[in-house]
Amino acid sequence: MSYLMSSVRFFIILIELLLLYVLQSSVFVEFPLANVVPDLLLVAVVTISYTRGNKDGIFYGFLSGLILDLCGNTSLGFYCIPFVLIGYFIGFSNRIYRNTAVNMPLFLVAGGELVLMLYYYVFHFLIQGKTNIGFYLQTLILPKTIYTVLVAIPIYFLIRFSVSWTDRHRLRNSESD
Amino acid sequence: MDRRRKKRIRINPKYLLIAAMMLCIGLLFVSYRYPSKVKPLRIAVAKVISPMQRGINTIGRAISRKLDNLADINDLINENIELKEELDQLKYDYKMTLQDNNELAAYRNLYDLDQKYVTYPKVAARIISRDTNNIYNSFTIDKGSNQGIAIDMNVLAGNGLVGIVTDVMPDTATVCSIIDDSCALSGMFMKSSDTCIVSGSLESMSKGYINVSMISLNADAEENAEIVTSHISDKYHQGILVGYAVNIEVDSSNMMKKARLIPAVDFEHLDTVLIITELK
Repeated sequence: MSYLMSSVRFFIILIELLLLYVLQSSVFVEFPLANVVPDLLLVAVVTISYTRGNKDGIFYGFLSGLILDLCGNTSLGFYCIPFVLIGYFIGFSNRIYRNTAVNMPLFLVAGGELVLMLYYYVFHFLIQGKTNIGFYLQTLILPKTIYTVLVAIPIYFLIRFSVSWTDRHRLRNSESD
Repeated sequence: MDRRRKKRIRINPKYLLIAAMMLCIGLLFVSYRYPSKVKPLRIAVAKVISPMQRGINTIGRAISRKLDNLADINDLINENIELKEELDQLKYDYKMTLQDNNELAAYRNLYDLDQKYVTYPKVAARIISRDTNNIYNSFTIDKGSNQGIAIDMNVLAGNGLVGIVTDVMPDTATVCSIIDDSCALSGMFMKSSDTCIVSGSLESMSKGYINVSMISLNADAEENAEIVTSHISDKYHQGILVGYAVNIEVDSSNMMKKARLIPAVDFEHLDTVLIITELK
């Protein structure tokens, strides 16, 4: 029964990830703040690995990276690498996970977004000899981090709800066994 | 329940991380080395995603149009007055040009010249999604190989060059714009036919221009000269307007001149584009 529930969870989260991707690539680009769009998938990965630990972080990080690579124009694996790393390292914060704290996931989202954007800067701009990191911090990295943190709260609750909902069902089922 | 949990095989997350990283690097290698093998997977995903994007996009666009409608009406009145003045000026210019054109046609007939700028067959398409990291630099349109789009077709908006098709799916295609950092094209000055290289850059585009380099020192380059795509480019049709050159100066090597180019297309308000369905 627990296998069934974890596969149900997998499909629910997969659909949520796809919807978040569609949102970020079609709706949020119509309302850019300071010419940037928030990374909704990153918020989802951070939430999963904060509430579930590094193994789920790696798995769903890989999945979200794959979605970005397959739908976008990048080589497969380009976004998988930073998402897997972020999922793994943020998974360590699962030890201090508390249901009530909202500031902690926001800090984690900000950290993860900074890492992701630095990775993007290195492999998209620095690699072409654009060394003026101050400019990219100002126009791309910092605005994007702020915007992502701003939209993170509803996505955090959505993902946490769907994770804990399937968990609760699993517990109830295993107790009745 | 605890006993049963313990029976499960526990893998150290460290090894899982190493396995996932190796998988990522393997995927990178495969998609770089054999892009055609990955293509069917991308097509399958695009079949699922792009209808959703198309649907959601119409909603988002409707909302943003409603917001635009609330823009100050005074702005519109002022703009209307300015536009009317401009229209008068343009009407006059148009008559003058018409005369010139008639004269030119007569000369062409005399010299039996071929028409220089043939009208290319074009197809219109809507933008349905954008690259989320720098949103004006690459985007997806709602026409693909089923509608006759192919890689390396030129993309226009209004009269100016937007970019080039870099990837094609059955019903969607990806366009890389000329302001992207990875884009460089061969341009030329319309009046003097001096060639140059136009290269995109996010950094300079944030100040409203992209870079022009490799202009010959004795080129007859004036300020605000029109730069069009050149005859030596193997992907871009000749004579498409790219933008206007300003700040022409000798570059640091003292062998060439460089300039700034103000694109003819307003990339921030791009909504529909035209694709020339003829390859050079």
